[in-house]
Amino acid sequence: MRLDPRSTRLAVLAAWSICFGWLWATGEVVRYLGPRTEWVVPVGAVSLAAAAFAYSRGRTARTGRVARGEAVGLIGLLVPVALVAMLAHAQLGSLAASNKLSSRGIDVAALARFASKDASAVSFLQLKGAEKDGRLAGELDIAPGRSVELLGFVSQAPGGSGSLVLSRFYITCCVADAIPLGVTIEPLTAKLAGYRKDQWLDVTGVLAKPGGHYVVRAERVRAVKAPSNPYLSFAG
Amino acid sequence: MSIGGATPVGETTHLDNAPDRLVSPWLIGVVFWSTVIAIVVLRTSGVPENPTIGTFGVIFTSIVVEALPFILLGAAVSALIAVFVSDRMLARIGRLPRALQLPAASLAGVAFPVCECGSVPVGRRLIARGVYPAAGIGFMLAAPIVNPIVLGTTWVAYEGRGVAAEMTMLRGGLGLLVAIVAGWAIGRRSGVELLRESQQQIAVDAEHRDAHGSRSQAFADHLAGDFLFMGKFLVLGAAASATIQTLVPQSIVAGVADNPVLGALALMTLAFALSLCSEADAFVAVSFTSFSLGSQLAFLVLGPVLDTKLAVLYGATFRRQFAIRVLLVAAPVALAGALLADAVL
Repeated sequence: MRLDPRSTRLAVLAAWSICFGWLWATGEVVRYLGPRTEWVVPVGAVSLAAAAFAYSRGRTARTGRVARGEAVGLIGLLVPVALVAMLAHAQLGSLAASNKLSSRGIDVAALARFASKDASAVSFLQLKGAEKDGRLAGELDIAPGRSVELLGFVSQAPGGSGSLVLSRFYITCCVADAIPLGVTIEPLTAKLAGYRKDQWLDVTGVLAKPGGHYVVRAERVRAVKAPSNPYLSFAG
Repeated sequence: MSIGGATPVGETTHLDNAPDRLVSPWLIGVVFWSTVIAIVVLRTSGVPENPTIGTFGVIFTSIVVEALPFILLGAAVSALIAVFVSDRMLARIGRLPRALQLPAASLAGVAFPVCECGSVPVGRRLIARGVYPAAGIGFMLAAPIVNPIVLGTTWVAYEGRGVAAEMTMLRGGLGLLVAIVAGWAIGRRSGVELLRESQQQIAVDAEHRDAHGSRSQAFADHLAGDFLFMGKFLVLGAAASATIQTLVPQSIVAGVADNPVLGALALMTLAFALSLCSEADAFVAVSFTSFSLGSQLAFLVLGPVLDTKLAVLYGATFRRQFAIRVLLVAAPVALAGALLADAVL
């Protein structure tokens, strides 16, 4: 393939089409986008392939080399493709939970109500919503003493009190707007010492509500592998 | 986006003919294979497990992956307009009474899905063809905000936050207001006083018309040129957003974000610096979850009206101080709108 400007631009279009196709075919898209916006990946794969094909049919006005400024731009456009290839199993974790975001501006109770329409299990969102909305807590049967099972990553390692914070990220559109929701896990019959940040745990225990916030008093804790889709969605 | 081949495709065509600053194919090959080897080495050495790299990479990539198909859609519509729609259609506005021209031209943006780069050459053409300058400026500033693709992406981006309708309406309404106020304040001069004689743009237009035969091929060239031109700004913006979200502690961000005025000013400054395409900026804005919705609205309204790439385009199209005049009008209106939005949302 000649590396004239048209061929180089065509290569960038094709690289992005392949990248979208790979995300679509492998299901890796769930590491980047939420269920509301996953559809853009197949659309992107097909439309970029069509655009690349149409562009490949044309003749360049002049053959020659790629100008330096354009080359920098085209290489920049390929950086995300390289990152997709490099970060195949990367996910947001404790660093993002502490540095990146907060749930400010989000009506957690309303989202929990929406997400719980078809949900059978209690998760982080329902617990946070129930803290703010007593009626929702009643509807979801969330109260101290109820048994729950939570799957999440350790966002705050066990401290002096022996408790840790277990979190999950909730996506709206993509992981850039993901919001971490965490629940404090306190030891009951299970020990929590030794678990480190970003480790995935499956925690079973009973709810308690000291100081207005739900905590889980752990009866059983298992270290598990991260799920293939590490994120939950406000869409339920 | 380009209309009539004045910007991205024109830019690339112009670059094709540049006699210097060219890159050797060997260098491109070296960069490509070095990248492949680096990916393999880094992936096997566990570097992606590093929390900072992993967090940055995932956030950065997700913004680009989500927004790029919308850039392509916008490029396709822009290419359709550039190739198949005569700008005489727009010039009909010039036959309306002057009092109606400014609001009519600003509202006409609803029907023309071009982002900010495409609207500048259209605005220039309208004014050059005798449309009341205020109306040309009104169209130029409104179209990148009120067109259906931009409002659609705003809806998609904010749907998950449960404020899609509010943010979409506020963005459209405030964008229209900014365009009308700026058109009225800046566009009372004559076209001759406003426009810079741009030989380069004229030459690029002619070159583009000469370089391509069929309309379908011109469409494909416009599409690819616009997509690649705007895509690099999206990559820059996504990188900046990911860097902030990865490296800046929440406490520092919260210190600015907690104050509505400072928060809106900070995001307007960021919008200027990032130069995002208006067809994709909502996905970046919604990721600034620490900032109020009003501050995010200021980001969404100011960015398509004035950013670093627009400042360059304005400088090439209009006479001196045009960008400063836009800033002096648009920033206070956007700020006031942001504060009002914070009060009602």
